[in-house]
Amino acid sequence: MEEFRGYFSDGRTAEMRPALVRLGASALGVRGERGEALAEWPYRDLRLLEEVYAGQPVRLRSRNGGDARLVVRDPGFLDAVSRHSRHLHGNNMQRTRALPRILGWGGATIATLIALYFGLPVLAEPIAAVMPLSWEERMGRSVRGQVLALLGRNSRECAGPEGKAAIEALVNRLAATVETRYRFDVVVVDNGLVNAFAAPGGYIVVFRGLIDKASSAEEVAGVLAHEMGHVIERHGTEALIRQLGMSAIFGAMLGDASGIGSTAADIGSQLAVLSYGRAAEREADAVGVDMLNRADIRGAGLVGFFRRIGKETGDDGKGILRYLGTHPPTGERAADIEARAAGRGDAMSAAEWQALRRICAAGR
Amino acid sequence: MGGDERTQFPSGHQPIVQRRPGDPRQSVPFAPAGSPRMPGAREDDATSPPQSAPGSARPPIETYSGGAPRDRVVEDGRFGELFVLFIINVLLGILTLGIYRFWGKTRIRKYIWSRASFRGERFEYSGTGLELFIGFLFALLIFGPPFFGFYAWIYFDPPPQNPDPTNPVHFQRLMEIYAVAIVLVIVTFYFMHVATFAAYRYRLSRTQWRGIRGSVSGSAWTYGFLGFGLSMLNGISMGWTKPWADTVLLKYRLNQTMIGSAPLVCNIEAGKLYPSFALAWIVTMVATVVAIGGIVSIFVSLTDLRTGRTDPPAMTVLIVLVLLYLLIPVVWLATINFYRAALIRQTAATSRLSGLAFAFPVGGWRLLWFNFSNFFLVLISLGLLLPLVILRYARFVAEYLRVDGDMDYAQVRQSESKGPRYGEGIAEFFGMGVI
Repeated sequence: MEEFRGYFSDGRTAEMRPALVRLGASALGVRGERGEALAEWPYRDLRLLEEVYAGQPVRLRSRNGGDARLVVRDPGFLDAVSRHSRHLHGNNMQRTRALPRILGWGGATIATLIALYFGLPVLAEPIAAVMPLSWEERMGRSVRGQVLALLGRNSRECAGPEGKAAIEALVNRLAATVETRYRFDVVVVDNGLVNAFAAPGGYIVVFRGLIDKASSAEEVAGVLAHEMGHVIERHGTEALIRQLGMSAIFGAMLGDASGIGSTAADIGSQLAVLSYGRAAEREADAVGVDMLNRADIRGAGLVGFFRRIGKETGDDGKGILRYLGTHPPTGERAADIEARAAGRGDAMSAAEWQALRRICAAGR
Repeated sequence: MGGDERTQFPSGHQPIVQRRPGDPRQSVPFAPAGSPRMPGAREDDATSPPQSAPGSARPPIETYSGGAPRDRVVEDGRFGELFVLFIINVLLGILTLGIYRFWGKTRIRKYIWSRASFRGERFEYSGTGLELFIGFLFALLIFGPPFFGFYAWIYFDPPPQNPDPTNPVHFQRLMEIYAVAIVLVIVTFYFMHVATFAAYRYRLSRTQWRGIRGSVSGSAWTYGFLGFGLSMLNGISMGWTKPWADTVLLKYRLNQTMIGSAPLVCNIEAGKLYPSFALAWIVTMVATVVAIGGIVSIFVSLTDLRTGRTDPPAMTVLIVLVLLYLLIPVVWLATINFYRAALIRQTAATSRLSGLAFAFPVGGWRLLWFNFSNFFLVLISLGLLLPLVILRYARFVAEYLRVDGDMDYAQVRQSESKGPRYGEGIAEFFGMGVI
């Protein structure tokens, strides 16, 4: 039978007495200097007070032993008692090597980060699909408000009544060609940016610069149909969910739970400058061209518009809301649209088109 | 601060418990305040002199001599070991979306506590990660809805862009937001004080030495009101009530602290703290006058007095402006170390625990260097050297804390209180404290 010298405290006073520790068959026995029994701790109840490093004393308690403590300084004691209490091995750091543990956990962490980075976007689609309309609409209003706030003074809403009527009629005409739960809401903003964007829930913003640059109402109709395609396919909602998810998860990882709310508030404004990616753009094109076809509006205008804008403005990298930056045009895309566009009619009357071009003139 | 001086004790100190008569705490050396006799105490407890007096028949049993000095805490933690713990905590924290941090914290504490020993016996941290986690969940349940609700409110129902105060709708909306924000700020300040006390209580209750744990009575809510009210007062008095307020808060904590059945008594008074505080305050005032004078004169020199136009400052002037602006907080943060050192010295010198008396003879320059170097270490390493800073804190205590006197271990009974079941949730919610 193995014996070790140690010190024992019964946990009732601060006194620690010299003690003799015996490793019995099923329990560890502690006796005082005069041989009196102090404690009998079953092996399965033994707990180390802390992880034991080389050269450190072994300090034990028993699961049912209250505040009683046993201290043994003999370096061989931990191995001896661990032979009976196998669960103590986990806290034995006497021979543990640091590098394999760091590399193991480090590898696992990197693998998890990679999996999350690619896995989260996949989850965004089903979540967006079950999101109630009212949430989407609130998010959309918030995003629109933030983007316009970003533009500061240059975000006045154009109020020419005939122009408003014309563009709303066009949007309604396009919306009538599909079955959708979204109620589209379009505004023209008095800003020279050649751009348009769709916030979640059907909130579409067209900048005056785009109408100025367009050579026909059909080009505007093409851009509107494309943006409505983004709404119908929930690209904005999904992007918002991805962003929120990412910031929540990475925020939690970095230990900043309180920052999530404030980050969420900034995301809307980021959304406008993000491109949705090639696949999403092509999806929006396809939905948009279908709408144009069913409404019998010439669809080739969109292609021409892309090409002309590309030539005229180039890509000087300036302007955060540049249409080409957020809607990268490719030859493939243009060809697809051209091939599928089948509409023959006009987007609106000539009088309506003139009213739309003057929509921002009123109230200036 | 000479090496010899460090081992000196405040003059007039008696290393034994025989102190001012009439103080009920001290008439029964090892019983808690308010209870003249512990249940089960021997008859002679209250009448016989403390057994620990030098020369008494039974000296306290030291469990380990090993050449350990009797008057100080010995710290033998190693940076390498702690660094490995820290790195694995960071990795597991990422893997578990931050949830592991409660267990990680516990692991670090167990390491630090067990590597500090006093009179041959190591300290023990007996808290668990689960207790911290549950504490945090409670705090999340209580504080989450109002705080996250506020963010959600602002997000989903944003305030008007370009608000116009003359528009009653805008005005009412802005007032609503400000009102809620102010309430949340007040709630935060109050609960940060509550959390300070609650976290102290939790840690004490999970700190054991020779099997005996600490306990803190008193109310965290009261402490919260006290702390909140006093910090308001410090603002009104431009800081001049701070030394007194600090001693009030400190005494509220320390004088309700017990180690087992032995009460901690602290009689710190603010008077001796005022010279060093006045020094910090006056030097900071001078710095403020210099900084404001400098900034104003630079702007005047850049302004054409006839046209009233201000030229944009050159780069060098801009740097000078920034330095002048930073002068005030930097000077305050530096000079306040002299006050802090005095506070620490006085706290130690006026505290008694059973038969023990304390000294912590740290000087202002040393504390300034200690804090500055810690800040700098964390800054240049982007937080990676945090474990070194933690270890430096432990070593700092070991370097300066001196303990004199004897404790009769057989007379120090276990604390009757097990302490709070869960801990530090509020502190965690408000992001206070790293370790």
